[in-house]
Formats: sequence, C-alpha cells, structure tokens
Amino acid sequence: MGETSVRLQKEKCIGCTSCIKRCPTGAIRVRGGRAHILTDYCIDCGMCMRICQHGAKVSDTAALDDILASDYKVKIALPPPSLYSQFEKNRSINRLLTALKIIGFDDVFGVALGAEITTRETIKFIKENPPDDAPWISSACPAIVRLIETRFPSLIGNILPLISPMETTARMARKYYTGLGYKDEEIGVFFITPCPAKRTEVKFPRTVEKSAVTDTVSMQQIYYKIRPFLRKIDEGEIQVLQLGGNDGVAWAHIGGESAGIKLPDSLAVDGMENVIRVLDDLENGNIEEIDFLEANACTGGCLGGPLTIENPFNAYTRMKKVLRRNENPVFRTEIRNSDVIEVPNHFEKELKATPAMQLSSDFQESLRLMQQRDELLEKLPMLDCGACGCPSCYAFAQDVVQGNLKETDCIIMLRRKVDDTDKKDS
Amino acid sequence: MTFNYVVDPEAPERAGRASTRFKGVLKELGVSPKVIRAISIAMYEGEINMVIHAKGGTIRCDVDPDKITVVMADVGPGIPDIEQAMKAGWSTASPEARELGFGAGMGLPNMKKWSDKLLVETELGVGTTLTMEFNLT
Repeated sequence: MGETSVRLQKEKCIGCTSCIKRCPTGAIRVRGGRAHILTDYCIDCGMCMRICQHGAKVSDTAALDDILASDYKVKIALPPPSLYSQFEKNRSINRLLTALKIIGFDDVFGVALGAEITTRETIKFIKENPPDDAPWISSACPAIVRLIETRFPSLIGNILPLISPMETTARMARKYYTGLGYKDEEIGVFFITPCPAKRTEVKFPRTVEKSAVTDTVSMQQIYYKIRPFLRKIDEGEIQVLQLGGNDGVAWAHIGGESAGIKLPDSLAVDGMENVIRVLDDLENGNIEEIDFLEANACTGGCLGGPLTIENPFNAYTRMKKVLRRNENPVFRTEIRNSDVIEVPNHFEKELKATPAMQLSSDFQESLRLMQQRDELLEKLPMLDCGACGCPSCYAFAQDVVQGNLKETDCIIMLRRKVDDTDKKDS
Repeated sequence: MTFNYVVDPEAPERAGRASTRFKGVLKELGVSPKVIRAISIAMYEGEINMVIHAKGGTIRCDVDPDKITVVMADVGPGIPDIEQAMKAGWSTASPEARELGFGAGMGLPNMKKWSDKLLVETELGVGTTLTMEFNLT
C-alpha cells in the first residue's frame, strides 16, 4: 500500500533497535543496517519519530516556503486548536491567528469551528442511533482509525461515520471563498498538522472521495515562523479571526471532545498502549456501559502530537489557561453566524478492514504457517534481543516462516549451529 | 491445531489473558471479525466464571476448517441448577466477587448467546466442563 507519512532518512539511521522495540504495531525491521517501515502495519502514530535519537524518522509534510510561494489565488491556513497550547505566554487566539496572516497566509480558518460542528453532529447522530452492544468510537484521530482497520476489524462498524473537524473546516473555507467568486482550484487550504497521521488523512483519504485540504505543514515549522511576531503585534493590529468557541478549542486535549458531547457515559483514553488495552477490552465485551469512546494515539491528545514543540503536560496546563481566557471570545461573526458553516459532514465512503495480523489470505495456509512458527518459537531463545532486526523472537519466527529471514539470522541460533558443527568435527 | 491455556486462580487480575491471546491467534488466522468478537466475549465470560466460581482451570481451543471448539474445564463446586444458571441475572457469585464487578448473572446466558452450540457438563463437588462451538462457515 505505502499510504503512510512517516519516512526514514537513510543517511541518519544507524540501524539500532530503539524504534523496532517501541513501535506499537511492530511495523519496523532493521535490514541491511537500516530501519525499514512495513507500511501495511504502520498506522502513522509517530512513536518512532519520538524515539529515534538520530532524527532519522521524519514526517512527509510540505515546506512552508513552498506553500507561500505557490500559485493559489487565496492561501488559507487551518490551525487546529492544539497550536494554541504551544506558546509560553498566554496569547489570545486572535493574536495567534493574526500572526498566521502576517507570515503570508491570506486567511485563517481555525479548526475549532469544525470541531464545534462535529460535536453538534455527534450529539445528533448518537441520539438518532443509540449504541447497541458497543459504544460509538470517535473518528477524529486517524491513527486510531487505522489501528482499528488493521488490528480491531470487528470494531469498524462502531466508528462514528462523521468526517473530521479538519475536513469540515476545510469545506467551510472552500464554501466561503467559492461564494466570493473564486474557483475551487484557485483556493489552497493548508492544515497545520501536529502529526503525520493527519497528513495521511489528507493524502490518502479513506472516508471522503477527495480531501478539501490541499496539503499539510508541520506545526513545528509554523511555530518557529510565527513566534518572533507574536510579541511584536500591537493590540490595534490584532484582527478578529476567531471562529470556534471553547467546545471546539477543547478538542486539543484528551477528554475535550467527550466533554463537549456531554454524554454521561463516555470514556476518553490517550496513548497507544492504553488505547490498545481499551479496544481489547471492548472486543472482549468487558466494557459495557459506555456510549462513546474518545481515543487519541498521543499522550494528552493532539497537543501531544509528534510534530508539536511543547511536552504534552505543559501544553495541557497552557491549554487550560487558553480555555479560561477564551470564556468570552470575540468571533468573526460574518462567517460564524452564516450558512457557510453548514457543510456535508458524513462519511462518503465506508471504512474497510485491512487486517494486518493475518498470516496469509488463505485459512489453511495461515494454520500451516502458525504451526511452523510455533514450532520454531520453541527453539528460539525468547530474549527479544533485537539483534536480528525484529522487535521480538515472535516477530522473528513469523518473518522466518513467511520466507523473509533464515533461522541462522538469529545470532543465538547461529551460535548453536556453530557449536554443533564444532562438536561433530572434534 | 490446538491451543491450551491455564487460568490461574491465584491471579484473578490476569483473568481475560487467555481470551485476549486466543483472539490474537484468530486474527492471525484471518477468522472473520464477527466470529472473533463472538468467541472473545464468550470465552472471556468463561474465564471470569472460572475465577469467581471455581479454582481456575484449563481451556482447550481446537481450530478446524469449519469450526472452532472451546472447552473450558474446572475442578470447582459444579453448578447445582443449570436451568437457573442459564437465566439472565441469576448469580451465586460471592459478595466479594460482586464487589469486583462480577456476578451480574450474565455468564452462561452470554456464552449461550454468542456461541453456536453450548454443552454444559457438571457434577456437584467435582467440576464443570463447558464446550462451546463456533461455526466458521
């Protein structure tokens, strides 16, 4: 498939075992002294980017300079609310949005507005479609949607069929500018992304035919670009650009989405390990009484994304300040109070399971491979040392029976073989 | 192919591990999500039962081309009244077990609901063996 956004910078990788060990879906192998990402397994969570000490894992996103130099007649920035948590002084949202215009964007549509609309639609949807034997699962975190597609296919039908706040906001931006007489192809919409998974959502959409977002730019790039301007903007220069209120702004942190939906029985979980545990329990029928599950791959939620600057706990503390300060927001009402905000927001395509754990597409063949693998496992040292380039002996055994490695690629198996040969010789 | 698991009565907090592990096997085999869900839920219930009512036990899972059979055997007190135990909401779980959130009386009814065939063999003071079948076709 190859439809992922985390990339390896070959020249920086030294072939150590840090990333293979920490990848939550076992999607990395070291082969020939360098890491390789198995794109069928990768869900773009960005854990390897955080772990790599050598900066060898990067996210494919566009360069800000290229975006600003592009030919679009109108270039619109889409900042998610997580951006507001990144700056050390408690800056007003309108000040931050004004800075985005100063660096060269023609307009700014904060994704908090889309989040507010998604909140409204979620409440409506759940009311009309009360959950059956398992809760509705938020579709907002693309890494989690991917996790469910590849590892928890039985829960696919529980994913809330609403498009993300990013996509909703991009549609609003396009609707507004086509209303002003621009052609769709003249409008460039650029999402400021906290993570590689959002870039994948834009480039390889799974629930819409074509994303309304043109491209993504990393939050880190934007951070360093706008930071110098923030202090310099005079009060009088600040433009009224804010579109979304606190119900949308709160989506930046874990729990914010469920808080807005105000269902008494919801569960919010962050961090891949925790999410996997909760999904496992859901599948076992061990979590019964909840109506809504909010799951974010990153600790703290989007404000802890791998392309953010601040550590998620500090960012969360700041976010609370941002929310407090934003209790009486000054809105750009010409858009907020118009029908621009009414755009289609249901899935256009159904999500499909792409099970990554399956050993073979044929059941009998899978059984045969599993038998072979389990026999081999009996012989392996089970140290999970990683020297073979696999995250565990289990993964090694799997790679051997699938024909990707030989038994003697395990240094301990090799040593045993050498010892046996020595014994025979003497 | 056969998979065997032991449910350790000394570690009730680990109850559920066997069903989660067998679920991994089913995913690797490419069993349909619907069937995986049914087996996970039914087997999880059984595992919890073994911890609450019996002193642990063993689970044997047989994978055949057309069906999966899960045999859960314990050396517990046995079920005095199967008809009652099959009714939703009926439970003999101890107050301690109830405090842990168990004993809602959905164990056997849920296992019956999610499996294609359920056989209960029980003898007072000897133990209980539950055999569940799940069709793959």
